[in-house]
Amino acid sequence: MFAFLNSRPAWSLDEFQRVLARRGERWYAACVRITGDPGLAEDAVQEALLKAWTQRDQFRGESEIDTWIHRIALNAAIDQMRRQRPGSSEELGEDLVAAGESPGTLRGRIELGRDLGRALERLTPLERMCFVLKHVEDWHLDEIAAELNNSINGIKQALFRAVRKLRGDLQQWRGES
Amino acid sequence: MITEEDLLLYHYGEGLSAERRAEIAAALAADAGLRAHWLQLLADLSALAHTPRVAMPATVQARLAARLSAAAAAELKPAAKVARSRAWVWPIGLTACASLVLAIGVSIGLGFRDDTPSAASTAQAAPAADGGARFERGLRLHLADTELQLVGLADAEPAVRAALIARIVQENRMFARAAERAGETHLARVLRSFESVLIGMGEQATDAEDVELRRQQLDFELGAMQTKLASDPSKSSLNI
Repeated sequence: MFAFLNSRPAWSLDEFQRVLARRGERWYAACVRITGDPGLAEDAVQEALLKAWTQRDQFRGESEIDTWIHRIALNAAIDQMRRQRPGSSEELGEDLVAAGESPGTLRGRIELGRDLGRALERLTPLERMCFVLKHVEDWHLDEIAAELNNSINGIKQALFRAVRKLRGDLQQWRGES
Repeated sequence: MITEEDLLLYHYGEGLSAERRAEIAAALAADAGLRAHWLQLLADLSALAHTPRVAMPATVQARLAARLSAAAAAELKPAAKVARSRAWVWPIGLTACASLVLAIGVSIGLGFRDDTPSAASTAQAAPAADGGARFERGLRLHLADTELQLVGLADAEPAVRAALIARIVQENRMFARAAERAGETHLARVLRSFESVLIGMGEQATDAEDVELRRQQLDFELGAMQTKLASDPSKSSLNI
């Protein structure tokens, strides 16, 4: 259909649009979990999507594109967080609530609608990113450390804090004070 | 002594030395209390890993699709020469037409964004200003992209032009559906009304006089819309 794309016959625009339609929500959801902000998540997915388009001749199948964009989008989401709070990844560990903002208004948060979503929002950015990358995205500790420009020990400590806080919330929801 | 942190790393299968892993494994086998603690940790982690589903709004999907289309069309630019001697009104008319559609689409998208504050919320003046700035930024970007891709089509084959029109129409429909779902029936109607104009421009591409007439019609509406956007960007989705 799109004859003007015939210089790269492997992937047409229509095919790419179909991949976006089928897989886009998963990329977006992962980025929302990382950033806690739908606007930043959209920017991250867009960045990954357009990068993938420019490199589309490298992909052999839809699952390869999916995996690649998912990963790049997560990286972009982490970069977005850095740009929002310039500085080292240690600074991402600061407690944002302690900075004087209420959890409900912080950075235009979305209402995730469930207790766990709210609990994730209460984590510091570093804790949330570590938790999501490890427990939802299944990254290795060294991958997280490299991506967040932190030490493996720093990542472990952030994970310990995140799990401790979240388990505390879990106990509250279960009525186990 | 085996801590909760040790158990967590044991669960990860990394971050512990082989010796420490062996110690923990032996302790779990020997100590029923520790094993119970371990199982509770696994149950909690399993519950915590089930993060809530995050749905992607239709407007986000539409914006991403539009940006992808723009990127694809922009690749034409280096190869294309702007040959205004032949059917010079064609790219201009298309630019006006597609800019109008995309501009409205952007305004709708921003109007429906989850983090866009309501006009009634005086307490959220700063977010409102941010939403307006984001709108202008997004609009400029889309207009620039659209102009780029349409100028690049000046020398393109009719089939290529038709493909672009089809893509714009498709995106326009997505925005119209999104507007309808959000209860913005007037906007949805306006968007749908442009579909026939778009299709008509595609069909009449070789008739310069007809294209020019359509261009003038759209140019007028585009100008009116831009005036409204300039006067109050934050309410653009309500006033078009």
